[in-house]
Amino acid sequence: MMATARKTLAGSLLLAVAVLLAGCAGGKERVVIPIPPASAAPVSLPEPETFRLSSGLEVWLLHSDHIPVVAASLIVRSGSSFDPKGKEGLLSLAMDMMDEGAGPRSALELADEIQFLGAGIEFSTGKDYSSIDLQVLRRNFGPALDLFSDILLRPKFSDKEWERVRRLSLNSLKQRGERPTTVARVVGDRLYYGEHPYSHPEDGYSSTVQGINLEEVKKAYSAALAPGNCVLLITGDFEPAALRNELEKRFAGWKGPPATLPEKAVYSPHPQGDEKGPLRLAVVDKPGAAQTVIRIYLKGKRYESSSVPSLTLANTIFGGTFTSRLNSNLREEKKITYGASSGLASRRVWGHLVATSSVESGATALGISEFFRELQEMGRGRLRKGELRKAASTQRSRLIKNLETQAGLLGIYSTAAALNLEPTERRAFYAAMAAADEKSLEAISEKTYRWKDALVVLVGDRGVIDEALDELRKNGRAKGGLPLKKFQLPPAKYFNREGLPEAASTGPDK
Amino acid sequence: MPEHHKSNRLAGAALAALIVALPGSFAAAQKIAFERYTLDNGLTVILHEDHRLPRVAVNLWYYVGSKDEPKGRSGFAHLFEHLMFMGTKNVPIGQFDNIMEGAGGSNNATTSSDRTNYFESGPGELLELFLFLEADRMTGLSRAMTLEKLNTQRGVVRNERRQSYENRPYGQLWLEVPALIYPAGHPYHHPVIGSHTDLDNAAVSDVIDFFDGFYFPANASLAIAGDFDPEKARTLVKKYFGAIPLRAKITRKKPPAPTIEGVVRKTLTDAVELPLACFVWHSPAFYSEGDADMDIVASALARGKSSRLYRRLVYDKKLAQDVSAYQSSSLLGSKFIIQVFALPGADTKENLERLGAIEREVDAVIAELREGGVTAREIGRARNSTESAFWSDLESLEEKADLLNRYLFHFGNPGAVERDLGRYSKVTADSTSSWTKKVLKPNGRLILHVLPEEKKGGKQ
Repeated sequence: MMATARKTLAGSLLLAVAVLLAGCAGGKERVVIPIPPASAAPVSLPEPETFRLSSGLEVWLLHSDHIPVVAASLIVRSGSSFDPKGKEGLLSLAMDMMDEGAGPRSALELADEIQFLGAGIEFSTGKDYSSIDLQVLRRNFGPALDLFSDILLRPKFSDKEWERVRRLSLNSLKQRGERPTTVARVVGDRLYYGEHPYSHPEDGYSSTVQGINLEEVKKAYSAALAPGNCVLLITGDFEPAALRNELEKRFAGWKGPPATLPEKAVYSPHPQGDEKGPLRLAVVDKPGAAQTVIRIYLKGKRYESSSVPSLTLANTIFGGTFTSRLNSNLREEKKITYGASSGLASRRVWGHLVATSSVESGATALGISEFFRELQEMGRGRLRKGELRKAASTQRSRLIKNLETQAGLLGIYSTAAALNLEPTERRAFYAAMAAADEKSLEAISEKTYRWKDALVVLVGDRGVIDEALDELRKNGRAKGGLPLKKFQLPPAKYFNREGLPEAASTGPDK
Repeated sequence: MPEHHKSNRLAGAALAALIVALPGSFAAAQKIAFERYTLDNGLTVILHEDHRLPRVAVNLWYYVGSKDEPKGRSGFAHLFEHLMFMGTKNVPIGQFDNIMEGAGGSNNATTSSDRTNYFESGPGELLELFLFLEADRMTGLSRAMTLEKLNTQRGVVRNERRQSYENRPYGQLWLEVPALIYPAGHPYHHPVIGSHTDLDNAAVSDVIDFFDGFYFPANASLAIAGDFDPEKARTLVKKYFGAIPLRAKITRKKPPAPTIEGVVRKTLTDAVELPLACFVWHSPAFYSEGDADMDIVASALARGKSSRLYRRLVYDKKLAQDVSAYQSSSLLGSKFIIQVFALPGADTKENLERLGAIEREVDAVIAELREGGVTAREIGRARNSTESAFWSDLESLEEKADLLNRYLFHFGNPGAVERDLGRYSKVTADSTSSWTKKVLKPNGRLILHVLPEEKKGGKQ
């Protein structure tokens, strides 16, 4: 213990000094903090048992018997990036309609029966792929599977339900505009991805949802929900042959065209290619807002890129944990926010990195300048002592924690299933993370954290934001912040809550 | 109602208030094995082994919440929770989290009206570190407190208030409700997050007083769950917590039960698109008689598309976008809450008319329940779905450790699974009818409206 603690403590000058001071002040013996060596033993990921049903549907079975519950996730290899231009939100609406009456049951009967079985069926649409998740008490798996297969194979798509679903969707799009962090995402994605099919939100825009009809919804359903376009991930206490039988009974007659990816989703280049920058500032007005949402986009990596393991670790250091650089600075040092973080979105064809925080309105300038300072610092590519170990330990622990729950377990395999990769592809990913060295993190950081290439989205009171930007331009720093090196802000552009330019966008900066 | 977290990373922690319901036959079979003992200084310790994964979770409840705050210090219990991470003489500022993350551990804490919980989890070999860190701050947090530390977390908490309430649609509502239904002087009169003024007024001396008043072994319980050797755990607990001095338990007086006279009405405006009608009643306390009935009533009213209110308001009458109903359970008494998001009208007048129509429909649905109670089918639906949720909750070591502490707090015994779940098998149509009559009174409730701000200049 003693040796371990010393070794770790040596890494922290601050701690060593403080212990010494405590010793002087109290005249007591030194307290030793019992820090164990960081465990690096590889975490073993179970290999799913895979088989194919007669309909062509692929099944990945993972055993779990710690609770008498079954979790299944039908991965559909189509996402919102497959929505035709002008019909943004189509696939998400098609998914919403699937449980509005199916097989012999009306929408209400279906909802009643699902609940009665202690089951839940959830739909979600992502950019690359979608999923339909079933959770049910093990003893009710059979009847729940009947309902699940009705929903997948025999949805009714009735006019009456469509009228209601559309009305509710349009209202929830209105409500989306009330939530400033969601607005920042919708606007940011739209500006960052531009003409790329990743640009629009999964639930579409008011104008496009308005123009979608039930026939189009049915077509989108038929194109996506085909056995060759889906993989069923399932975990529970099953004997594989018996499960296979249960599934065959329900899915034998499932037919559909062979799956094809739309060209654009496969081949679309990154919107910015390999070009640099330029730094862009986008502002969305939320009059009288108590906080300003700052959301910064940088170029990321596609899912299969070999740089993702190193970038994941680097980003864990940047904004991926409580003691990350961003949170330590903006929350614990500057105390202008409840939290600041960053995350990676690594998708089929491209990815991005987002750093974000809601800062109190009065500290908008300081918030922006501190994000830039942290980006500049990270972009220098110099790790601090202990950072890599912390990031690696954190990632390892999160993986073990994922194995704790059925949903976490399935989550490890869902992208592999969606992108048609080997079921065990994550093993290599986690092995690469465990093996990553400081050099690889430093190299990827220099390439990634380039503030001059950033898109900065600000959602808050426009008057407050304009003033903050003026202050930064005039002084090259924010009050209470350090000066920024070679820092120049472009004129801001103004957008509405769905990312369309505001008429007055050229006003204040000219 | 809402709990407050040290950090917003762990959204899952918000599930702590989940109510569980199982059919009787099932409940009998379900137990969480544990060992319980008490140290000489009054600290209750609960050990639960689960060797499925190489993980351990530590969960420490202090029996103090916003109900215990002194006058003029609303929000202090939660602010104090944040200060617990600011270091001691042995663990300087910033190092609590740094050390923990460095070894692969993670942590958080939440404050409710009734209690404050601190929890950490990570690889099994971190058990000793977790126990050291918890015992260290239980021993000496206040001796290392400074105004600077207080100011840091004051700033963070005030931003939590902005993020969670002021800059969130309908957030203002939850700041208003407590004072509208609890009289001045009642421990629940103010929201857990507190007011900016009170947070501003908090001083270092308050931190010392609060620490001395509430943070000691006999006012806490420690649960350890996961992959550990119980004998070693007992030794470590004794080593780190054993030397903290004994202090007498706090005795508290229960305040008189609050009532709402007539119908209290309040209208707020907010930057939102949809008008909201919110109905609030006083209801039976956590785990007391009637609490389980009201859970099942809430489920029958608004859980899923086939629930009574959803069907009536969203489906048939096309008045609403969405509905929710829940029994928000607390120690000294609970709240039963119904929320209806109305479809937006063209102007305020139309919005008010729609909210009026919604109120009539809600009252009609409640009248039916008062008369006949919930159906057997509705009871079955509620039991099965909550059984499913109960299991999923128990997948997580952190949740299991927290549940053991919660049972100890409310039942005086961590082994209360059967007793808890047994409550739900006793619920009948008659019992729900009689509790609906007692609780969901037409006179004796708060009705709150949130109206969209009038639009200016045609902006979105």
